[in-house]
Amino acid sequence: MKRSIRSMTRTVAIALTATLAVTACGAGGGGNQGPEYTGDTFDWKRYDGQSIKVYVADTGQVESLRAGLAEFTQLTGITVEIEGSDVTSYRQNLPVRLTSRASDFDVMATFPEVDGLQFAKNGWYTDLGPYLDNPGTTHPEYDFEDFRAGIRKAMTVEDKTVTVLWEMQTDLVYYRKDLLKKAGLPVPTTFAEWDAAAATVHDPGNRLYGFALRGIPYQTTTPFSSFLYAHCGEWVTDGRAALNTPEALKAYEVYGQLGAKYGPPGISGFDWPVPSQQFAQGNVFAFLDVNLFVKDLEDPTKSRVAGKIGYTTVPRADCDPAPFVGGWGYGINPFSAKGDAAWYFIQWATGKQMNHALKLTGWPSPRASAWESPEFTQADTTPEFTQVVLSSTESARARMNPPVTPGVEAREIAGLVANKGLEGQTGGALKQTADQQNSKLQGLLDAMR
Amino acid sequence: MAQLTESPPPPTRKTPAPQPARRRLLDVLDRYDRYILPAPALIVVVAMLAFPIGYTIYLSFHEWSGGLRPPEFVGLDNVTRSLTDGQFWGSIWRTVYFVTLSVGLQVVLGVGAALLFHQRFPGRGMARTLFMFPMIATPAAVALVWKMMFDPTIGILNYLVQSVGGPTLLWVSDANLVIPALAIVDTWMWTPLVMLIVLAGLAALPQEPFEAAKVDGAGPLRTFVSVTLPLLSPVILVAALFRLIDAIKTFDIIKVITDGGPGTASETLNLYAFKQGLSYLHFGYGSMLLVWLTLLVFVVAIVFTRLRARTDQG
Repeated sequence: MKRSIRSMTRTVAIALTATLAVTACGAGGGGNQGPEYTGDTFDWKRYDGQSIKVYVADTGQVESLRAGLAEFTQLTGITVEIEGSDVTSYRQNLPVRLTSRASDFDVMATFPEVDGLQFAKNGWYTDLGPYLDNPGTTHPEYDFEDFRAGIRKAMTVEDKTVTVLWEMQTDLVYYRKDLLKKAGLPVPTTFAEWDAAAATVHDPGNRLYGFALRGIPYQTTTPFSSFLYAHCGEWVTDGRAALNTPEALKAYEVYGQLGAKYGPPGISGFDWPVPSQQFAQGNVFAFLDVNLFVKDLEDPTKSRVAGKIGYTTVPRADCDPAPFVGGWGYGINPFSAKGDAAWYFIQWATGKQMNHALKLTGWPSPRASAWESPEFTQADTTPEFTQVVLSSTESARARMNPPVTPGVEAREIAGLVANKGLEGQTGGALKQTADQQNSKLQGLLDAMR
Repeated sequence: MAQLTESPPPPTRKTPAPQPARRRLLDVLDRYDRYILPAPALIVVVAMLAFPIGYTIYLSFHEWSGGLRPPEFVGLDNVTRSLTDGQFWGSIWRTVYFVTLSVGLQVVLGVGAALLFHQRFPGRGMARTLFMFPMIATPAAVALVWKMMFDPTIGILNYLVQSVGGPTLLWVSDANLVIPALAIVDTWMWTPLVMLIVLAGLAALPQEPFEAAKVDGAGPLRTFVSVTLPLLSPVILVAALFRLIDAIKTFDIIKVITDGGPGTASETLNLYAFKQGLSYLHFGYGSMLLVWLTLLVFVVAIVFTRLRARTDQG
């Protein structure tokens, strides 16, 4: 008896060892090589019964997406699980998952302006061109041309369409109409005029601050790009880093001083939503940032300043204003084995119907038809905002970051100068920071060659 | 009889003897079962501990940004790069500053709290339990609460400071104040652990030296300095060692509250390694920074172990 128990224990131990050894050596497979279906007949039900996972950064769209999932499943028979994550965590986790060639998600989110060069270099994009070009995989009414040329450009990296945007980000200035009227000032159109207006309204004793901006280094590049272009600066000129040119220095100085003189306390640590949150609390007269906040700011249950907000294009300085245009979009995980079903989801989530419905809720849709639809035009409660966004996209540029890889590091390098400006650095000290950061950016540029 | 001799032998109930090969295998298994039985657990430990450490060291001699291309061997490039990297030295300095400040505070307050809770007073049990709460709370949740408390405009800390006529402090938004502010959070969380260890040490102290001190007429302060502290020092050193190792590795509260900011003012070595490895995708350089971090922990552990051995001998 004793012997048989020992023998059994031995068998179990050996089996366990072997199992562990085998599972430890196991490896995932898969890999997306473009559309699986090569015919030319479109059928929404082709992947009926499949299930896919969508892993995305949540910029406010996930709630609406979840609400519409039943409709998608009814249309296609595909079941969807959504994993939404905040932008900062997502940016850090996605590369780790792609590095391990994770195939446990099929649709991913990407911001080509930030991720593009790095992801393309690492083979982390699926070329969506073959899906878009094939009438068998793309519904005839999808109408890709409905995305304006500048926005389609923002979806490409190295001339390949790698994503379809679910939003259209561009910079503008949000301000308090009531306070500006009280001060008896016209709507400022230059940075100097904004400085003067902010100085007039600034009243820290009553917790009212003149101007708010982002402070965390890598996040400042988004609003700072509007300062840079309006001061005729560039991130890179003729292949050389240009963070310490007189134009860029002037832009950094204006950014830093506007925030340092009139910003709320602690502005140099402001995360990207903080300026809008402070504005919603009624603590800030004006802020310059992307167009994603209007929905919450005009909601009286979330904002104390609803109905009092004015919108205007980014100011000019020595050059014409040039806000950026870009945004987050859906792409197909290159390691997914369900690329076709993933594309069906992307098509549905970025289709006209979804965009038109989202636009009615105040979403910054990237589709032209969503902004032009009679339903939206009639229901639009902020036509001034609509006008500003549309005119901004006319003069927009598709770059809010240095065109350098790794994108996040380049943003951090360029953004640190703006951050130091917000901490009060000016003149020679700010130039010293800009020189130092410029040589770091040049180091990245050299490493790219 | 003839019939008997021709019949086959009657069946026997005896089990047939094992084949020689099978017997040999069983003998081998019997002889080595002390190695075979723990093997699954050993494999798990190796996979979970040794492999990541080994792989980090391997990567630290390579440059790799993920993707389809394999890591490229760069020899000692990452070592020389780190030694000439101002941000690396800055992060080491900030780590040392943060650790010294937070562990120093925790040891002083922890010993004080232990002495207090060693006394008998009504409600001691309840007070001890309440004192342990910060240690049990989830660090990320605690960090979020502190982040709100530190807010210069709506945070409660500035409200309290201003209500007694103090200035508006920027707390974690001030480059000069951010490390002390983070040390306060760490101290709030981990002082109970030091208290717990020291309290256990106090309970185990022999009574004779205290009685002798009493007979010699020593006052409470003299007894504490000349009797309690020397007797407790090995325990205090153990508590300090635990906290030092943990404080050097602090990540969660700094990540949530400041993410290394403002600028790089609270970017400790751990944060910098994370940023290099996982934000910038310099997996090789990030791994080299983690090797430095491991070495730092290792050196501190050795120094403290030696120190403790010396106090034991003394």
